[in-house]
Amino acid sequence: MKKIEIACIIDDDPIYVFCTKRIMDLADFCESFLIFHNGKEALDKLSAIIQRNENLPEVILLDLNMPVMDGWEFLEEFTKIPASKTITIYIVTSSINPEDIERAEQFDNVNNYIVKPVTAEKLMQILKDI
Amino acid sequence: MGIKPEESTPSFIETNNLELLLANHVQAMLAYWDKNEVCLFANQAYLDWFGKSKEEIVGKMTMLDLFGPVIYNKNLAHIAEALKGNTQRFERASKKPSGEVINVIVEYYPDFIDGKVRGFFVHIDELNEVKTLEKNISVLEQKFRDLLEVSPDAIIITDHRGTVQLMNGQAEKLFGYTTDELLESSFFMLLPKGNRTKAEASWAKFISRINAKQTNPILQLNGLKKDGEKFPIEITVSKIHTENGINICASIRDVSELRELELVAKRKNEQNRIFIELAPTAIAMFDLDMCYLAASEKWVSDYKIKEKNIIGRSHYELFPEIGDDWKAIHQACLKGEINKCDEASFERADGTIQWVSWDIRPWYVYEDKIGGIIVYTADITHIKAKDLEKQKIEAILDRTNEVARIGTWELDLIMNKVTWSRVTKEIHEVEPEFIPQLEAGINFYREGKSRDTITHAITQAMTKGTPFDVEVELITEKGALLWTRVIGESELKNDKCVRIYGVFQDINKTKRAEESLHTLNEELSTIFNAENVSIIGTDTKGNITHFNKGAERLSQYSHQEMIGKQTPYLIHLEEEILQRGKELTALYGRKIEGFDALVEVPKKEVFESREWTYVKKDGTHLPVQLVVTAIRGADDELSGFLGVGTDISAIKDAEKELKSVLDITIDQNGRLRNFAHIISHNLRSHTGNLDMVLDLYIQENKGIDQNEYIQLLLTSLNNLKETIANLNEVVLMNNSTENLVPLNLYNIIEATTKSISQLASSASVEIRNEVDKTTTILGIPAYAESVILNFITNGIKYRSYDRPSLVTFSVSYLKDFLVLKIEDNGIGIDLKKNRAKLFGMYKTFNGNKDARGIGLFITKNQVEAMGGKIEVESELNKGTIFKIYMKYEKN
Repeated sequence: MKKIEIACIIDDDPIYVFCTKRIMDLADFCESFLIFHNGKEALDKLSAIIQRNENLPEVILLDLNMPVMDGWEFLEEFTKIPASKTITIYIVTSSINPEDIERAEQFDNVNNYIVKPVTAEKLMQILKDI
Repeated sequence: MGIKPEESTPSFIETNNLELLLANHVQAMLAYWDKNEVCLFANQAYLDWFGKSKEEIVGKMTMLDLFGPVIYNKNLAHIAEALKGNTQRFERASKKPSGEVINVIVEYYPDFIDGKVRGFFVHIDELNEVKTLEKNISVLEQKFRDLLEVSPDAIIITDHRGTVQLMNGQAEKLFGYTTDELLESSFFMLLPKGNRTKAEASWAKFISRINAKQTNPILQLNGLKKDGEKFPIEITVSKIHTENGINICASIRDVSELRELELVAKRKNEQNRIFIELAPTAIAMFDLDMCYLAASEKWVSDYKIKEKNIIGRSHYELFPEIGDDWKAIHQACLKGEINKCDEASFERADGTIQWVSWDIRPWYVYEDKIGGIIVYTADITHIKAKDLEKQKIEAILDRTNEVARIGTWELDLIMNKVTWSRVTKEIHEVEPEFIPQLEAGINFYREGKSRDTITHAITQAMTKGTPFDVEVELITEKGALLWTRVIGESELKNDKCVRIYGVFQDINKTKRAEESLHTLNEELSTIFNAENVSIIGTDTKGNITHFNKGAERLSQYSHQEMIGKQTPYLIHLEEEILQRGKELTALYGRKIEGFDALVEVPKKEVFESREWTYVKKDGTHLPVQLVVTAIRGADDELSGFLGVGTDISAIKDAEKELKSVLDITIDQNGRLRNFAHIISHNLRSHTGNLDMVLDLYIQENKGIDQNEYIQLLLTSLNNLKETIANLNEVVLMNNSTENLVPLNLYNIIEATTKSISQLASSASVEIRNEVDKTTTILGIPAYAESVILNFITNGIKYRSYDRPSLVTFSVSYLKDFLVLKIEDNGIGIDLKKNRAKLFGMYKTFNGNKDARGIGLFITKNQVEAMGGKIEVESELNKGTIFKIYMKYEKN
């Protein structure tokens, strides 16, 4: 089992972000974090990283329901940008709406659909998949 | 004479010695003198008479030389006439050279050669002796007297003064006088005094005329008999020249009988003339010369005679066009023939055909004497035309009878004989040789009303002479039931019926058609007058032709206001017609408006059913479902339209209400779904966070999980999570039954039982799967599993603690459904109290600590989502049976 270098969390819920970071720390999930509070911020920053050819995160935990730019819009835009590195994207959401689950399956680079709350067990499973 | 003297032919005498010898030996004197009056021949007697020798006279002497100037002058007139070619004969007292005077008769005969007089022969003979003469006279007189006596007429000879010289026996008889009484008396005493002057005048006039060639006059006079009786006579007078002057011979005939006949004939003819002139027919009377004696006015008008007086005019003169054929007929009739013709056609100048009949026959003055002809003609063109017309009509009638199946019949009551025509027999379906009889004839009619009717009708006709016309049913010889019409008339003689006759018609088709038409009419009028359906008929232009009670009720207009006066446009909402017109204009690419908007589609598609709005008379609106049909005749020609409208206001109202309910429901559902999503998403976010925070807190503070408050927080958090999960399930229930797939029921039950086996065994509940391993249902996998799980957990939750628990699954089939029976022996449900709440949301009805009441609600919804249903039977403390009806694949 290999430790992840950079994990990216895109979510507007500070409690969720706090807890997830804490769980990741406790589980020794990754070296560092990139935290964005909506799709737009994430898209801009990640595009910049790609342009500067800096280190991209290996895993993105993406929330769907966000202000400014939601998870779906982010996916649409982000998948258009060619990246040198494979990035595994997990949709992490409170929604158990079957429509959302179906829609998530349409994206090739979305690996899984995780229903909140995130637990240490779920994170371990991600590490196993990578 | 036979002598043919040749001029200057000396050989004449020589070569005719025999003749000369003959001439010299006759006693009469013969000589020949040429045109220069020179003697060429003289016989011995002639030479002897003059005392000359032949040599002295012949070729030398002229007549003047021989006779001397005195005698020559005496004979000069005769000589001149003879040389002109006229035979001369005269007497002379002549003195012989011896001095003796004798009477001679001298004859000069002219000698013609090539038509010219060359000379003349002279013959002189001595007159007979007186005795001979007297003897001859007495013979002649006797002959004359005999002749007088045999004459049928009375003959009286008088001298020129009228003195009677001679008369015959007939004259004696006629006048009653003897010859002695009348001789030397005046002829005029035989005439009545009144006639005498006239007769004497004409007598004198007649005699004074020298010309002997004058025709003998016939005098019509009256005679007077010795006894004084007058009678009509006809006297023909002729002159007789005698030595004593002119005598008159009167031939007298008694014409009293003739006069009588003529008078009768004249009267008769006068009568005929009057009769003819007044005759109403075209008739004319002609004399022997075909001149008119009389003609009727009709004749004058028929032949368009314009002349005012045609009497005496010739028929042929008036009608020059009369042909020789007709003249021949007239002539034949004038000889006694009769010519008649009943009809003959003539083509007139204008091309029309004139039909004429005639009768031409002679009329008689008296027996055997034809006076002329009588011609009778009649223009029978109009009669002929009528006759031809009648023949035509009869032919048509025959044909019509044949076609219309009309026969005739006759009942002769004197001969007691019934006669049927061919068609009548055909209708009865009897052989042509069939001999009908009254009784048998009546028995053809159907027993009951028909037979009674015909019997009554015939009886009435026989006894009272009442004519009849009845429609009765008849059973033919071959057993067919027919409607027939029988018409009868009776013929009466001395108030007694002798004959009944009439026509007989097969009206079966008409009658049957009438019957079915009547039924049809009844049905149609019932349908037509249905009060809740508006039926409006129009012609092709939209003019209303039918407007039923339903239409009156729906529109509030009466049919009197609509039929023939309005189009359906009046009761339609103008905006709708306008709108529909626009649609159709766009559809067909040409302008369609007004009434056409209602009928354009039916015209093409036979009919159209649409919703329209009727505008009632009071202005209120009424929604109708209107079916407009195009009506076409047998030739597919459009004849009009029929609009059948139904009041759909009730349906419309219900629809409106339903729609508003539906709208509200859809709206509510949408909001509910939205609400559920928000709830589920937001609540889940918050509970997720709580869960994470609490989890981290416990991890980071070892032993804190034993804290009582933390315990309560955890319990509350778990309850909250479960409630949200259930809520989600309810919200996300999908009602589509379309995605049903075949599922093996046995396997589902087995798998579910296995997943819950720990719970079941800990509660000591036995689960029996008695379902056949191949049993397949149609369902949604997740729902089916959920349903089964729910019933197993229910069975466990509501188990009885008094006995070993058992949950049994079994299957039966009912029509289109598979019925899964789930039976437990648990605590049961009080259905009387709880049936209504049983499948409700969040109903808890038995105080069980695990019961949250949402299970059966979800189950029911899931079963229904798969097209099934749930039934429940239960008894408290005994157990519960759930029957789940599910779809399955047949075969």
